[in-house]
Amino acid sequence: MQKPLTIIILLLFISLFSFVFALSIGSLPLSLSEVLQTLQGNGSIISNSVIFDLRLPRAYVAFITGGLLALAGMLMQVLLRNPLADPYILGVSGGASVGAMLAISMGFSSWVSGSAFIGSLISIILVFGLAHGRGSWNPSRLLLTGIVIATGWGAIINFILSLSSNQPLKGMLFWLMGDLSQADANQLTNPALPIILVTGLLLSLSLARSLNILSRGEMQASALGVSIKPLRLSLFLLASALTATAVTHAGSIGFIGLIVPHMMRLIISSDHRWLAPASVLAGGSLLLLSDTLARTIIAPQQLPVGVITAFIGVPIFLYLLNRGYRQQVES
Amino acid sequence: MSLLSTTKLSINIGSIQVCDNLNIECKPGEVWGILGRNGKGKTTLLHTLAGLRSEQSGDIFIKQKNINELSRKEIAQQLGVLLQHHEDSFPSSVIETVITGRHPHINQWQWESDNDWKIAHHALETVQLSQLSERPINQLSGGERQRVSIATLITQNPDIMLLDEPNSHLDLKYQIQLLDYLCQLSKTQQKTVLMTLHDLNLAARYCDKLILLLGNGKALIGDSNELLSENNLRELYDYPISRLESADYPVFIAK
Repeated sequence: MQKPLTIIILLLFISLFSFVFALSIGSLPLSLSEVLQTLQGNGSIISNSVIFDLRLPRAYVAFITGGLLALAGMLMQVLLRNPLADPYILGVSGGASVGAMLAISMGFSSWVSGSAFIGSLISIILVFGLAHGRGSWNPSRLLLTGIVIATGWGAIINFILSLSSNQPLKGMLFWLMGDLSQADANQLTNPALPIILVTGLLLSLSLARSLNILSRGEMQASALGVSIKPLRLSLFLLASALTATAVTHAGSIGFIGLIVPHMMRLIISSDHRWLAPASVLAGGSLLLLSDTLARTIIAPQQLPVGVITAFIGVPIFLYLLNRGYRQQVES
Repeated sequence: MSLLSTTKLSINIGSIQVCDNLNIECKPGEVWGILGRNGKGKTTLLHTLAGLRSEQSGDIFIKQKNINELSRKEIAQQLGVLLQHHEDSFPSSVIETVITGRHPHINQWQWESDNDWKIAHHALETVQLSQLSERPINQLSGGERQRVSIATLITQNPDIMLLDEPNSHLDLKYQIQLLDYLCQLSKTQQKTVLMTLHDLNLAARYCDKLILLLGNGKALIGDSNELLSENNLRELYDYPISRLESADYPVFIAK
């Protein structure tokens, strides 16, 4: 069997394991058979409530958010042809954060998601308009515009934080570091998240071979029959939309969008037809496992999930990077 | 029938006029060279002919069809370009890079067929890099990277091949082998080859036709043997050059 396909199947198993792990551990530990029974509708009242009201919605949002972020990161990296690019580099999360901070500081906790989404939209339009103005639209201009806008949002965030009283401050900080504790049972019946993830993945797959060529530069891609302008625009909009969706549901969780695509390039291939699905599965699993640890390691205290993604991701990534270089030297 | 032709093509880069009312007609089996001093627009002309640069007046035709009426994909099925600079932000293997040449021939959701892989491996053999097929391209030397790009162009297999400095980074052996191969390809498969060159001796040896970009929009077009006179070359390079006749083709030496 082909090596990339084997890895995708392995990642599917890891995803499944992450779900079982997330559903079974917590303040009320459940065994594998209890989890399975409950999922089939034969669980006790307590396990029903623990799984369907608490753990499953949270696991579900975590997995999809992780997938969205990893996919958006992969698209941003090839759009900007910069290995340091992540989903937040063009300021989408900055705009979302300002929206969310404003809602929290004014006490409208039910508006947090909505205003975060509006904030990210404003940021996308701003960056697009400024970078797409007159003259050419090259990656460095887009990158610089995005980074400057993101820095501007950062200043506004600090401004809001320094003015707010102690009580909403913790909520704001958790939101900024990424927070999945807001997920509730309503999420399970809301089809928006999975639809956006699957659509995003299918669109990425339809562009995948063009992305392989775009990695060799816009001129080369154009010479090989890729229409650059529409591709650039679709990449920008798709990556932004995926990021906005992720940030709206879970705050700005760092690290996943930057590291997961690189990990998958090292493990599976730089062919985007494999890279896209692998990134979704690995990003989802990594965020889900991290969030499960974040809520259980020092329970009942919860840690921001971003702390754990970094704790898990940094050593794995360094190991893979090292192994990659060793292989190159030996070959 | 001409494969690539222009009518009244004029190109400016800023205040520099590359060509003014340029009319050329490249026929199947012909090898064309573009000569000129640094910064006179050899690369710009090549990119414009490939449709990679749109600011120009006049018309370019690929097999009698106006290039503006063709999609990028349709152009890439007929016309391939070897670029001077390579951008490798995310390294892939040599063979993965070479197979990208099949892109214009494959539908959106299709994967490369066994035949496509065969074409790519064959192209890699042609440039004598088969032993490096799994190597990441960022570990290649300049000359090896250049040969990977040439293999990509061979894999694309277009009827019109535009090459920007095909000899850069190449050892003498590979320079001659490459030009021999391109010439033979153009004669046996009725392709048109058009390349920018710096080496007059190679231009005289391999090109049937030449475009001399003199600057200020002036260009001389014609059979290479006639154009490569000492007078023309002095004007072209702003430097005196001697032409010595040898048995097969003339030899040029800077004075």
